[in-house]
Amino acid sequence: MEEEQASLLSDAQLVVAVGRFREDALAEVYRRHGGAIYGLARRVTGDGAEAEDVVQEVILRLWSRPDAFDPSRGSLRSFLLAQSHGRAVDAVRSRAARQRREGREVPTPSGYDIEHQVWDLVLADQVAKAISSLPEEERAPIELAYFGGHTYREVAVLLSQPEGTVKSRIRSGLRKMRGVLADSGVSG
Amino acid sequence: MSDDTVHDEVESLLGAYALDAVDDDERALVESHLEGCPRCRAEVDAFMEVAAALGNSIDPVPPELWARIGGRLDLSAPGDATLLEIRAKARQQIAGFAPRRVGAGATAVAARWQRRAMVAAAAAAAVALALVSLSLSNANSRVDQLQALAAARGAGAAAQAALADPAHRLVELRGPGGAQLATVVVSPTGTGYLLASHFAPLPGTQTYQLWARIDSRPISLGLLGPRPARDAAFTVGTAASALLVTVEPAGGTVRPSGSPVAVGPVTA
Repeated sequence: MEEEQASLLSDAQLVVAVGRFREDALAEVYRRHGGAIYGLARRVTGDGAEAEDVVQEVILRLWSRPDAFDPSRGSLRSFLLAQSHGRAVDAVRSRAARQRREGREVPTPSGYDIEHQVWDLVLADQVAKAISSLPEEERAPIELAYFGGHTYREVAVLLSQPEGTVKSRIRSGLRKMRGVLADSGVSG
Repeated sequence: MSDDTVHDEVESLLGAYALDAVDDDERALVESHLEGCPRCRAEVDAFMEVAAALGNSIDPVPPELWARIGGRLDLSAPGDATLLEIRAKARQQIAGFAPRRVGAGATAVAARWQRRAMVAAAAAAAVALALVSLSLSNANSRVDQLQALAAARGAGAAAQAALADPAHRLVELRGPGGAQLATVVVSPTGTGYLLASHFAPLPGTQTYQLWARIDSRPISLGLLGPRPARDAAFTVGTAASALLVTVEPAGGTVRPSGSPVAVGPVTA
């Protein structure tokens, strides 16, 4: 039995290695996906310190519960981003009860594989195209809900639209985006 | 509500659910329905992928944060700030945050991503969103796969290469009585290989677990299994002062539960 260097393992293999208490594997997960987890949490919370807490929670949860990741349901990046989003939204919704420090240092760039950057840029480009292909009445509720951390009911109030309308526009917008992304050969 | 009514109600919520834009009652409703409805589940999974793509970004990983996370992996770590800091630094060293050299490793990574992109392009034509799990589709026989991969690469060759490097270090692990139980070669980059192993086989309910001692704290390097195999490889890092082996319940533990059955100093 030979264990490969963590940097050469696939994401799924990394999670298996994490399950076997290999800390180098967890570090590699962090190295590959920490930036994206952080980026999303920061975008939703608008707060670097809160975003760092989210990253910490998400990574620690993978360490304690690697079995929660089901590779048949999607990629590791998507799984971690869903966790990041859920926690970031929780943070936004309970912000009133939280005291936040200001003026956190902005992280400086570090070794983020150029291959990942290229892939992420391709992805970002396709996603930008997908979201901009939506009509305004579908794009706005999706962005308000996802990046604003609002429930669809809050979005309905913000946009002065019926709740049922917002609900169905979010769904139809996501379906369209799914189609556009699949056609372009890119997905999460 | 009848099942159909529930289904319709849940279905209308799936988009908002995937964006975490439902309230707690609705979330509970959706989640209990998803357990028994593959159709809704498939739709949610697809929406989650779209949401993840939307939330994906090219932010760099926060460089200082790993130290904080690493410091919390061992919940028993004493609250001594200095010790935590030392340990965190050691963990950072293991993680290897220095920019990667362009070499065999980087090429393999590039090839993987390229492969992923190509497969993705091909799959898109066939089934929408079936492609998302493409890099993970073979994850079922996970450990077997790891072992097969190792076998295909010719176990032992890497260990031989490490031995051939004049900067390698040899670690002899001895039991409490002084018996030599294993020899490990550590390459200059911090990868270790088990060269010889004389550990007694354990029952299937137990495993040998390998640790590095870094600033007097044990950090798990991984499980060696009930019958440690020659040429097993692991990441030792460059900060370890000793290697330790303990006997643990199958599945391993977060920290050593008993005294080590073998210890070997890592000398420069």
